Amino acid sequence: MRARRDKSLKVEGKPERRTRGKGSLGGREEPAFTLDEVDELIIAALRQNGRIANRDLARDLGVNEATVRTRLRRLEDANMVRIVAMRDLSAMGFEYLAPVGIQVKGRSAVAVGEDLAKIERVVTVNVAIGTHDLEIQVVATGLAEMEDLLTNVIAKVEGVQRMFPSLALKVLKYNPEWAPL
Amino acid sequence: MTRIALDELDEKIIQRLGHDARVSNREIGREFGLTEGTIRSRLKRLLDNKVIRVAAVTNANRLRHPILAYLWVEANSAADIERVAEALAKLPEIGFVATILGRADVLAMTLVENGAELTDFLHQTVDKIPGVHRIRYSLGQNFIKHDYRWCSLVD
Repeated sequence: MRARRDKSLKVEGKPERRTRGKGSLGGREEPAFTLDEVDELIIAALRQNGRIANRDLARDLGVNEATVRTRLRRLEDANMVRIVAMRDLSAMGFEYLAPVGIQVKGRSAVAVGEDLAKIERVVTVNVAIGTHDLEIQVVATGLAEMEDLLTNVIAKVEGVQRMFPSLALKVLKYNPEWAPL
Repeated sequence: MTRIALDELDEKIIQRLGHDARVSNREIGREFGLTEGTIRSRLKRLLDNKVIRVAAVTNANRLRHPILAYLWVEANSAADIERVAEALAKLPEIGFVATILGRADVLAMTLVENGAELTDFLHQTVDKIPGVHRIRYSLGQNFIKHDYRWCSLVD
């Protein structure tokens, strides 16, 4: 998700502040450098079109092709950015998307969330604060499959006490620009 | 959206690009024992038909305290729902918008770094959208899974 890129990219170099949550996020390497304006422009351009050639990108930004190549490698090596193909949910047959709130009992939300994350059709899992302990998103090719996932798979995960499902009628926007990498 | 049939090669290409989409067509061709032209035309077909999108994803863990805010929006009236959803989708800060059945009329998601930023965004921007009646929110504090390999390509 695009979020305040201007601000967010300036927090590098403060790894000690990035303590968060319980487990499951470990193994992050420390940021090796701070992003400058050229890096930000490269990222912005690649958010629009990830397949643009280095040469064209360099021309658009008015820098050397070698600069683009080096910068991009540095960004990827530091795991700051990845350029990937994303599949369109409905083009792949997933016509049903359900955001589901979950209340957990008897186990930690993180433990339950980690089990839910193993289910392929569960595309996002977030430990939340609010009335639900977890917020997840489930995709399915049909309503019967969704029903089966909710009733026979998700509800059976140990610690899932109650589910609060919704069903997307029309997805107007779904552009993951930020993700844990 | 018209759906095109995908064969095994399409799947292989998508999977290859799901890891690293900067790889050249020539390199993919070499790996698969096919010509650069074959890969190029397959890829063009996948992109033109909006089966896939190739884009940069930034590491959310680079933010100090990323919070994914789920905004459960209720509209003033049923007739306002579509307009509210469209207005939300136009905001660059918001990465996900859908009209939904169930917990609210519209679900929108935005990534913020702290409560103050969320409060500002809600009061300065979202509350001002005509037709918005009420917003409840839940805050995702810990991304256990966020499969960035999925998106929706909406015209």
